[in-house]
Order: sequence, then structure tokens, then C-alpha cells
Amino acid sequence: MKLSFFAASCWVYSRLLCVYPPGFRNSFRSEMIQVFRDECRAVMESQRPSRYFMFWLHILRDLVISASTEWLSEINKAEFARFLLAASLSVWCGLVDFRSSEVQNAVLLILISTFLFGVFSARTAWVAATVIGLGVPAIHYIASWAGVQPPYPVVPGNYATFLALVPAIIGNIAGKFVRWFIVAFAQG
Amino acid sequence: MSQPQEPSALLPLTPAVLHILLTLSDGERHGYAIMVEVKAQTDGAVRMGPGTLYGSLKRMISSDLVEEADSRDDPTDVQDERRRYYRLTDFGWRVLEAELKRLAHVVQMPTSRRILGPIRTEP
Repeated sequence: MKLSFFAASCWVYSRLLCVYPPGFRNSFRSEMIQVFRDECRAVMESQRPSRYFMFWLHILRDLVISASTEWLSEINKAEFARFLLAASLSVWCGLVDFRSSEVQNAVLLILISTFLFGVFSARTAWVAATVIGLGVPAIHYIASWAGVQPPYPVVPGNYATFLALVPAIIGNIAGKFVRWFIVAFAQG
Repeated sequence: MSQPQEPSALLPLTPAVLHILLTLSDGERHGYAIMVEVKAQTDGAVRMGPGTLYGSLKRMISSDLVEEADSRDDPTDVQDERRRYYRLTDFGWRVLEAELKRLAHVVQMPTSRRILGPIRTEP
């Protein structure tokens, strides 16, 4: 029984290590498992079930805090800023669509913003286009979940708002094409 | 390795980093030995899990405070083979010294400003 608890704990912990960023995991995985084994063995020698519980509580707390810290330290600040910008534009597009009777305003806004991402930030343009395109359905679904009726209800239903992904994809491709053209022109 | 010019650039240290440096000032240690010793040093007040320990060590290595050591306590021990040992670098020693001086100054402050009376030791 004791052995199986030890083996199961080590197995679970080794699986839980997937919450860390890959770089960190590759560098320290085997050492962390070794330290866990040593600590687990020491706890089991006490033969007090309450200590097993406290030990796992401590391990899970450590896992959540340290994994969050490692992910935060790995985030590229410039990419994070671009993601925030895309998320803000996404909310803006969603609100514009939610409040207006015509879709043109929101479509124009989505086309321009995804086009600019395609031109200036080609590497993250697809992520930005998806985030911006999903802003419209997100706002509509959140509003209906909160019980807020749109001034101009979507016909035939909220699922139609996913069509906002179409101008997002078109804007992204157009932006990337213009970028490619500029780069090709600059290189002669 | 990104080594700042002055140790003061890294101060104040986090409790985990300070205690790891203090532990390694006694000699090379592997991860579990560091954890056990930090717990003993602080009467259990600072208790690190494997994630906090290796996260701190990762940052300490990249700041050139500690480095991996080659030696092993017992080369015949199979488990010991798998462990990595860490030791202080010269820069790590200087940072530890600077932090301890800073803390000593902080500890002296309440007495010099008469916030507290002189520190009494138990008979």
C-alpha cells in the first residue's frame, strides 16, 4: 500500500510537470522528480496520513505559483503588447457591431485592424485576426448570457456573428500580401 | 550569462534566493539538500517546493550567482549520479555579502532611531 502510494504520487507529479513551459521542463524535469521522490519518501517515513495531505497541498501550491511565474517570465513583452492590442480591438469591434443596425462599420473596422496586423506584425497576424474576428460573437454571446438584448437583434441567430471571422481572414491575407509586396519591392 | 556590474543591482534578494545563497555558502549542494537545509535554517518558515527551488536556481544561474559543480559526494551512489550540484560563483559571494550588509543595516536602524530598545538575549 505504502509503495503504491509512493509510486502513484511520483507518477502523478511527473505528469503534472507538463504545466511548466517546455524550456524549463527540459532543463529541470528529472531533477524536480528526484527532489519530489526524496521529499515524498521522507513524508512517508512519518506514517501520518495528515502529513501526506499537507505534503500534496504544499506541492500543488508550489506547482501553481512556480508554473505561473515561469510562464510569465517566458512571455515576450512585445508579443504580449500586440495580443493586448488585438484583444482591445476585438472588444471594440464587438461593441460597434452590437450597437449598430448595419454590419458595415464593424466589418470595416475588422478589415482595417487585421490588415494593419498583417502588414506590421506578420508573425502574430493569424492570432490577432482570430482574436479580433471572435470579438463580435464573444460580445453577442456574453450579452445574451447576461440578459442584455441588442438594439438590433441578429438574424437568424447569434451563431451568424461568427461570420466576422471572414473579414478578419481577408484583412489578414491582404495585409500579408501587401507586406510581401513591399519587402519584394525593397529588395529589388 | 548576464552579469551586472554591481551586486547592488540585484538587491534586495527574494527570501528564496537569499536562503539558497546562504545554504550554498557552506559548500556545494544538490537540490534536495538545499531544500532541507533552507527549511531547517528558517525553522520551516521558508519552505520551498521543487518548482520554486528550480525556478530560483534557473534565474540565479542566468544572473551568474550560482553555477553547476562537477563533484559528487559519493560517486558510487546511483541516485547521486542523477543529481546536479550547485555552488556559489564569485559574483554570488559578492551579492550575498552586499545583501547581508544591507540587512544588518536594516536591523540596526530600529535601535539607532529608538523605535525599539536594545535587543535582549534570553538568559
